[in-house]
Formats: sequence, structure tokens, C-alpha cells
Amino acid sequence: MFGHFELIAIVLAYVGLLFGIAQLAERSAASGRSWANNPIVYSLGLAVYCTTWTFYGSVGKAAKDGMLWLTIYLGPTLAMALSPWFLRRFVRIKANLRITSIADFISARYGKSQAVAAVVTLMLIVGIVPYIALQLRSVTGTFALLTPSEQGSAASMISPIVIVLMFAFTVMFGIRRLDPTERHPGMMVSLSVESVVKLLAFLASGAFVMVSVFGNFDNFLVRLDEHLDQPANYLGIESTADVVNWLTYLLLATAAFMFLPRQFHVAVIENSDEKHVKTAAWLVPIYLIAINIFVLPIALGGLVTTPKGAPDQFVLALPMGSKLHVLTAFVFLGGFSAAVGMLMVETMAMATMVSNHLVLPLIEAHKSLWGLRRHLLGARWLAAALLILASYGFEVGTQNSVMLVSMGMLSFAAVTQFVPAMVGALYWRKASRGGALTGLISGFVLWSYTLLLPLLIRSKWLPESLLTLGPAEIAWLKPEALFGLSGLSGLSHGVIWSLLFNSVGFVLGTALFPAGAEELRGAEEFAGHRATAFTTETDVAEISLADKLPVLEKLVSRYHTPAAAAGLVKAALEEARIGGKELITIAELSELHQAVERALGGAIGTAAAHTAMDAVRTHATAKESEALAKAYARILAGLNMAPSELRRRIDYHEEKETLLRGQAAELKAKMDLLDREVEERRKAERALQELNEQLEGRVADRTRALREAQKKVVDAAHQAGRAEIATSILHNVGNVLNSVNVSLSSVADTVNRSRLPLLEKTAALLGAHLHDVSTFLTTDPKGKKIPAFVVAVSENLREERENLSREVELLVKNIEHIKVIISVQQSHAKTSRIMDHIDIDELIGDAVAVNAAGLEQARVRVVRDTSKVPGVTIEKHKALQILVNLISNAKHAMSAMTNGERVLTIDRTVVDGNQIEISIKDSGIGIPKENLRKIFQHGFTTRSDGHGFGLHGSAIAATQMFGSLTASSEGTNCGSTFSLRIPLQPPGTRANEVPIEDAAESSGVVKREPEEVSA
Amino acid sequence: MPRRLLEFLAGPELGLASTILFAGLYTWPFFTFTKASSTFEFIFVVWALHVALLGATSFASNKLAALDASGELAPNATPTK
Repeated sequence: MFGHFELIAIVLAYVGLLFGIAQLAERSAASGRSWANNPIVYSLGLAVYCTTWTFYGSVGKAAKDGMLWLTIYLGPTLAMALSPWFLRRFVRIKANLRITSIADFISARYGKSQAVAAVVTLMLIVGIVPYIALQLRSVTGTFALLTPSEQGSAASMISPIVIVLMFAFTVMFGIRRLDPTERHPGMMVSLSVESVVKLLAFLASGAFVMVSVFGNFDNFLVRLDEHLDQPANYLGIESTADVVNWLTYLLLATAAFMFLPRQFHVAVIENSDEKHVKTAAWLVPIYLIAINIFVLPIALGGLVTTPKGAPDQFVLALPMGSKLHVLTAFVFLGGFSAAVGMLMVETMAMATMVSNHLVLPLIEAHKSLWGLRRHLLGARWLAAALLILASYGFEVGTQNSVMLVSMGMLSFAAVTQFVPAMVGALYWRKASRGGALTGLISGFVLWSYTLLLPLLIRSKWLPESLLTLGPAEIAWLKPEALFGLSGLSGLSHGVIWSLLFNSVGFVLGTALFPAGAEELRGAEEFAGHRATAFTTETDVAEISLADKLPVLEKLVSRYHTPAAAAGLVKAALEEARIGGKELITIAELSELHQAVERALGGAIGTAAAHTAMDAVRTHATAKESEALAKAYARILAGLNMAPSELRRRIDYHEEKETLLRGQAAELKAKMDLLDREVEERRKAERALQELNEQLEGRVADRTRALREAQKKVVDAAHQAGRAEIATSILHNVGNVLNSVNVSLSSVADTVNRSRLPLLEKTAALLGAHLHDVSTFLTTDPKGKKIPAFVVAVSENLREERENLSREVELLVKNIEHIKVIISVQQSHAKTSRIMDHIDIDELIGDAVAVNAAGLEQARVRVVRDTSKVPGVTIEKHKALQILVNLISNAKHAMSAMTNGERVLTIDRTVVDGNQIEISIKDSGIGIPKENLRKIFQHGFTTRSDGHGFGLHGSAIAATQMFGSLTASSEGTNCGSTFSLRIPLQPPGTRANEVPIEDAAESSGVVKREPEEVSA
Repeated sequence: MPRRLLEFLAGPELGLASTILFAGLYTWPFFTFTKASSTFEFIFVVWALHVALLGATSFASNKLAALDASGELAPNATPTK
């Protein structure tokens, strides 16, 4: 006896040891020297077949049914003999398609059907959960056997502790992470250690019994024959039915060794080298012989020494009865190892199937659940927990029933239902998904009816009349005598009917629902022809790999983190051997798609991966589809096989090619349509281009004409400007000449009205009276008037002289003024088109001087700013033209006034440090707002005698000087202000050197059109 | 060892035939022997023979693979490239 905690401590220590070994194995795998990559480890891993049912149950079975137990282990030996037909081919296919489970395997062959995978998974859940429950019961049973029963509270904790331990162990070793390869080196090594432990423990127990009970082997044989009449019939054969039963067991064990989820996982999924199967082919049977050699001695020893003991516990009870604590503990650990190994791998395999084939399709079908796709690992953990809990619940719910002990063979019978579909997958090319589904469902229904239902009835869950009378008392529907077949064991009966319905359903289903293209492709892949499928070397690499990778990474990242997705796609690139390439062939693209699908399938199963990849494949361009068709044609040519096979394949490829051609024709029609559209667009583009060119030519012509016209306008404006100046000058000269005329008229009038003739008459009178002048002046009445007359004439002549002198002075002044005006005109005319550095005040003075007569005549008061401003480099003539024009306009604006003071204010301001603004402000009649925008337009004028050139030409001149001319007015009778803003130094010019046109061109400044001049 | 013998031993046909043969042999004692000890001994001996045959098959398969890897061709094989 052991204490509970003592036993738990032993278990924990053992689990810790296993975990440490598994960790070391994981590290060795990470370093590239995987311990698991070893045929012995692989073979010992396959010994996971030997569960507690082997460890404890074989002895019980032998004690009850004789040598029938041997079939459970002869079957695997037969399976290994068939490995070239099955196991090795499974491994090869798994390596190509990244299969993750048996459900995935069957689904991959039958069109990668989610339905097939789901049906297989559901069948396994029903078939395997009770089997797991059997393991839990064995472990808890041995706990109870080794510990005192009075420690009730602690005993009640054993099962939950075992549950937690099993779950933890499964997660730690089996589903700690999502691995695209689904290989677990740590788990495999720990499994192999467990296999060694359980073998040694069983051998130790057997050797102990052999020695302690029989002494030697010969004595055992003698005792065996002596007990022929014991309740245990060691031959076990009494009738034909027993032979059928024996063969049924053989068949079930053979199938179970290959198709039980844990067996398929270890044998196929965990396989890293096909050669390991060859080693396992003889090593596993040796292991099985070794672990079974003492079954019969222990059973017989138990029956001899403790006839009333429970045969299932003889392995443990015999050493314990001899007080061999160490041996007992060791044997207990052997049984525990058997349970742990089975639970771990079975749960892991089932959790993978549940998550991939039940949960994931559910997620994919509901968009609101898509966020869970990245939580597949969590889903597996949850599935594992639920499976173990369900098994525990089953174990609790079936206490003391006959159900569990029979459930082992029923599980075997359940997985045997996969035989038709699996054999068909490998050896029947036309086998279809419909056939597989029909067969599997038919077999499962018959299995449930003929095997599960009787067990439920015997467990008192259903009325026994169903078994004895049949449903509704229909005798030929009796579950254990279906259609009147009786005389067989229940197991044989059930297996025969279920397999028969399964096989017939498979064939009929295939006939009714023939294989489609996808299933035929699956058949090709399973037949091993895929390896030569894409060896074409004549394809042209013209598909951009960079365009394809983001699509694939996006797809994979639905289920993995972005980093893992990128790594997975990178691995697929390496697998497809196109890493580093920029352009790939259609064959290489197909290989890449296959590699990504396989890699993805490693995590989510081939069916789900195939469905996901379909979305990517449908994005193939027409060119890619055509190249694919060619590749298929070359593959066809490259096939090397018997004529009949070739014919069949040709039919297949022709069919496929027809489909592809049909598709290609559709695509070609679409392409032709697109080509026509493209051609029409090209024509339209060409016509448009020609029109554009014509338009450009026209625009160029028009532009040229406009430029010429503009030039003429500008020239005209210049001329107009000059004319304006000339007009102004002539006007001013005319004004002066008027003054001159007035002066001359005044002089002429003065001369005409001169008293000089009277004076001459007086002088003549005096000359006539020279002899008596005094008398004449004093006595003659005329003479007496002469003195006063002379005085008066003298006064008049003085006034005349003064008047004439004033007029002459005015004439001189006016003539001088005319001279100045002409001089200014001459000086500006000489400096035309050349820039000078000038004093702006001098220029303003000249402009005022030109207009002085008019201003004076109009009684305009001129106010000028006298502050100091810098000199300006400017084309003097143009600036003068502008200023003369502006002052003249101001004068006219003020001349039209009927009242008010006439003031012309001229200011100069430096703006921004590099420009000078000259403002000419008048107090005249102002400018209405509607005229402000038009005032610079060519031909616009408000004066009856105006021609509309002045301001237009001034604006052009300002623009040519890199400046601007603006006008502002508050409205009618509010006066107006014109502002000329010009740079102090024009860009790119030096004073007195550069012609203005050249300066404008060299500076890159675009000359402003007159219309662009702002108002 | 002659290559043809190796090919025979490694061939899948032998595996299928031996499976049927040994399934029959494992069942045979129940029609023959009357003593449990004889049945027990017979089955384990046949089982051991079966394992020996599986070992020979595995050995032949590995040997053939090694020969193929070394470039040694089968006597009746036609060189391709």
C-alpha cells in the first residue's frame, strides 16, 4: 500500500522526468540534431498502441477469453507487413500534402472535402471518447488499488488530479504551439521513454510471476495444459463462429493499428523519414512479442494464486501481494505510462481534428467569427479539455456497467469503418467524395445500430426488448441478428454488417456521384504522380513573384501572426525552390501555391487550406491559365507508363484540357473583347492625340499671331504713349504760345494805342514854333496845353514801356518755357530704351513741368513730398510717359470740377526696401467703381476728346519695368489716386547697360499683358 | 545477395502474400492442436518467423535503396540518362 500523496509524488516525479526529457528533445530538434529523427524512437512511439488496455486488459482478456487477446497484437504485425501498401504510402502522401490527421488524409483524397473530414471527426469522437474513458478508469482504478480505501477524501481527489495531469501533459507536449509540420519531437521522445518503461515494467512483473509461480517456462507450459478445464478456455475456439471472431479481431486490430487517431498520428504525421517505417516493420512486432510473452503466464499465475481476484489487476496485484513495493511502484508507473501516452496522443490528434474540421469550418461559415481564426491554438486546448472532460464524464456515468470494457473493440470497429475509404483512396482512382461519404455514413450508422446500441441496452440505458425482439418487434431488425444473421458474436455480426453497408455504400455512392476534377486530382496525388507533375522546363518565367507574395501572406495571416505568416510563406518559397527569384513560371507558381496550401494545411487541415487557397487560385490571369494548360499538356507527354494507363490518363487530361479549353475560350472571348476595347481606346487616343497636335499647332499659330498682335498693340501703345507725350508737350507748348500771343497782342495793342503819334504831332508843332517857343507855350492856346500834354504823354509812355517790358519779359519766359519743354522731350527721346539711375524727384519735376501750363491754367495747386528717397534705375522715358499721363489725367479730372479746391498731391514711398511707389492723388471728379476695372483697358476713356491709350500704355510700360500701376477711388467726386510701383533696381540689370526687353527675357519674368494689370 | 532476391523480399507483393499467409498460420493451430501449450508455442514461433521475414524485407529494401544510391543498376534495367 502507498499513501495517496506518496503515489501522487511518484507520479509527479515521473511526469517531471518525462517533461525534462521532452524539453531536451525539443532543444535537440531546435539545434538540428533531433533525437526524434530516429527509427528506434519512431518504433517505440508506435508502441503507444499498447495502452492500459494492453497493460492491464490483456491479462484480463487472456484470463477470460484465452488466446483471443493475441489477435490485438498479431494484427499490428500484419499491418507492418502491409506497410509497403499502406503505411509507407501514407507517409509519402503526408509528406507531399502536409496531412495533419486521418480525417485530413481522407478529406484530402476526396476533393479536400470539409464534409468528409467532419464526418470522420464526428465518427471518431463517438468512437474514441469511451476509449479514453477506459484509460482514465484504469489509472484511477490502479490508484485505488495501491492506496488505502479509508482515505476517502483523498481518493475522491485522484480522478480530478489525473484529469488535470493528463490535460497538462497533453498541452505541454502535444499542443503547446501551432506547428505547420505537426511534429512534436519532445512528445515522441517522451513516448518512446514511456514505451520502454511500460515494457520493462510488464516484463518485470511477468518475470516475477514466472519465477515466483511457475519456476521456469516449461513448468508454466505444463500448468497451462493442466488448466484446460479451467474457466478460461485457452484455445478459445469452439465453433466456426469463434474462428470468424478470431479473424474479426485480427482484422480490427490490423485496421486499428493504422487508423486509430493516435496510431495514424505517430505512424504518419510524426514520421520524419519513410525509412523509419522499414525499421518499425520488424522492431514494433518484436516489441509486441516482448510485451505479450508474459501475458498468459501472468493470467495463469493470477488464476492459480488468486482465483477470485480481478484478472485486469493481476499485473499489479501479484507483485503487490508479495510486498514488493519497488516492483509494484515500477509496474504502476508502467501502467501510468501506457495511459499517459495514449491519452496525450489521442487527445492531441482528436483536438487537432475537432479544431480543424469542426470548429474552423464553423468559423469560416460565419463572418462574425472570423476574428477567431487566429485563436486556433486556444480552440485546440479547449477541444482537448472538453474531450478529456467528456471522457471523464463518460467514465463516471458508466460506473459498474459493461460498457467500458467492451468499448475498446468497439473503437477498433469504429476506425475499421475507414478501411473502404482508405483503400479506395489509394487504389481506386474513380472513388468519389459522394461514395466516401455514403460509405462512411452507412458504416457508421450500422456500427451504431449493431454494436453501440446493444451495449447501451446492456448498460440498461435502453429497453432490452429492442435487443431480444427488435424495434417495433420486427425480428429482422434485431441489432444483433440483423436481417436474420445470427450465430456470430456480436462484434463479428456488427463488423460484417457495418463493413458490408460501408463498402456497398462506397461503391454505389461513387457510381451515383462520380468523382469530379478535384477528386481526380486527389487520386493523382495519392497515386504518387504529382512528383512528376511539374517538371516542365520549357515554361517561360514571366510571372512576377513580388505580385503574388502579398496575396499569399495576407491569406496565411488570417490564421497566423503576420510574422509567422511571412515565415511560412518564406518556407514555402524555399520548398518550391523559388526563393530569390523575381519572375517565375506557371509551374513554379503552382508549386508555390501547393507549398503554401500544404504549409497552411499543417495548421488548419488540407480541406480548410484548400478552400482558403481557392480564393487565391481564382485570381490567376488568363495568361497564367493558358500557361497552366500548356504545362498540363507537357506533363501528359512526359508521363511514362503502360499504354492502358496512359490512355486512361489521356482521357483524364483530355477531359481536363477540354475544360481548360472551354475556360480558355471563355477567357479568350473576354480577352478579345478587352482587346477590341483596348484597340478602340487606342484609336480614340490616337485621334485625340492628332486633335491635340492640331490644336497645339493652332494654339501655337494663334499664340504667335497674338504675340505679334500684342507686339503691335504694345508698339502702338508705345507710339500712343509717345503721342500722348507729344500731345501733352504740344498742348503745353500751345498754352505757352497762347500766352505768347496774348503778350504779343498786348504789345501790339500797346503799340497801336501808343501816344507816340501825338507826341510826334506835338514835336512838329513845337518845331514850327521854334522861333517863338516861349511865346507859343505861353500865349498860344495850343502852346499852353503842350506842357501838360507832354507830362501826360510821358506818363503814358512810361506805362507803355513798363507794359511792353512786362510783356517782353513774359514772352521771354514763355519762350524759355517752350525751350525747356522741347529740351525735356529731346532729352527723354535720346534715352529711350536705356535704363538710367535717376533721382525720382527730378523725373517728377519734369513731368510736372511738362504739364505746368495746363496745371496753371486749370489753377491746380501741386503739393509734392520733399522727403529724401533713394535713386531709381529705370527706363526714364517710360516712367516720364506714365507720370506725364497720370498728371495730365489728374489735371483733366480736376478741370471738370465746378467747385472745390484743385489739389494735386504727389508722394513717393519706398516699399519693402526694394520698390518705390509714386502716387498721384487728385481731388477731382473721381472714378466710379464700375469703371475702375476697365480703366486700364485699351480704348477705354471717359473723356469726350480722349482716345483710351494713355492709361493702357502706362500700364504696359509699368509692367515692362517689372512694376505695376494701380488705380483707386472712393467713387464719384471723391478724387482718385494712381500708384506706380517700380523696383529700385530691376532684376538682372545694371544701370545704363541693359535694354529693357533683354532684361525682361534674361530675368525670366513674363511680361504682363495689359489686361492683367490690376486696377 | 542477388538483386532479384532483394527485389523479391522488398516487393510489396511479398508483403501482401505473407500477410494472408501469416493470418492463416495464426488461425491454423485452432484447427490443429488440442493442447494450449502447443498453440501458445506455435503462435509465438510463427510470430517470430513473421518478424524475421519483416526484418529481411526491411533489410532488402534498405539494401536496394543503397544500391540504387550507389548507381548500381538492376541486371535487366535499361539505362535512361
